[in-house]
Amino acid sequence: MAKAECPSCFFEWDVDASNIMEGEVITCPDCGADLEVASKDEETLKLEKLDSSSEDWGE
Amino acid sequence: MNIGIVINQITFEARELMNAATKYFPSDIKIELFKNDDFKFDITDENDFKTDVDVFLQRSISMTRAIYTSFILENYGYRVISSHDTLALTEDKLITTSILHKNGIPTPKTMITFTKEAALEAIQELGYPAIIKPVMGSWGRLVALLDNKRTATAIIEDREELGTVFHKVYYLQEYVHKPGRSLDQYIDGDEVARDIRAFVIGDEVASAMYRYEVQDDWRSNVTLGGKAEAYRITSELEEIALKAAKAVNGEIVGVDLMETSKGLVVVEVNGTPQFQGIMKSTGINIPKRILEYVIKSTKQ
Repeated sequence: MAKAECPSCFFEWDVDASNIMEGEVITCPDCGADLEVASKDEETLKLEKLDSSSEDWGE
Repeated sequence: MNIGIVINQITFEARELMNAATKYFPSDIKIELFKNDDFKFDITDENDFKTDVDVFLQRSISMTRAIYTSFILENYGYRVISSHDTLALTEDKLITTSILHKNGIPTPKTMITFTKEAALEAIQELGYPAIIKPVMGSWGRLVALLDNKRTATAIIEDREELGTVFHKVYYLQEYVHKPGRSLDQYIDGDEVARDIRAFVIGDEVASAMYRYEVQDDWRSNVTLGGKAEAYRITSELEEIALKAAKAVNGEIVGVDLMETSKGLVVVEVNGTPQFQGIMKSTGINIPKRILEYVIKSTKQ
């Protein structure tokens, strides 16, 4: 498991990084911010806030 | 077969489709990702965009980009799921509700107005509480419960002052009392009100789930934290969900329904449905089913 920290609310959680890709969008389980996986290794998942607008994001 | 996945960013859905292709169809499917950030189309030249992709799966999170890229790729002669036609019919709630009703699919009573005064009159006709939704938008954004005239006036005045032109198209809907306890009776871990998401692939309902209301909220979107649980597909749900998918020419769509005393009603249809919540709650391998459908429907 790798450690992830939300750059918005600084919440920390454990993630199975083996099944996550660099560039993938994940959601902070605490504050709900959409975050991009900037880089990863076995111990750490480095996350960045998405700079693109999410105004029209959806399904 | 070559499948192109159109994305803004890699999402759970895009990644799981790639994993499923590698795991289940290693010799049949080759996946290529197309980031819509990188697209540069000359739409006045029909030979501008060439690729050996047989089918594109539209997975852009940006709805604007999804609608336009499906349109452009189809114009170049490619098959795209969901098509521009499906996205255009599903991304605007006013159009979706009208199309559903025209096709005999039960929906909650819905009224449209363009001014504050007409909106307040319409809500009076619908009765309080009522729901206001933006005609375009997802994940429950700017959807509000109008408990009384004071709240309704305040919310509509906000939209008049701060909203875009689309926020001033007032989509007003009767409040459907969902089964389960009311919010003021909510106890942590107890049964709460719910709606249903059906995931349609081709002419089948691949799976369905209950989505329970978020605590201290009245919406039940999984993206807002709503809990999900598998739903046993009934013939009534199957019939209505497939009819709704057909009404929007949908091949892979999410149909949202609510239970009422008169039976199920369709609230909306989603043209690029996410499937993380439904996979976790039902155990159904949605990406595998999608790829099976793409192979089968392309051969036909």
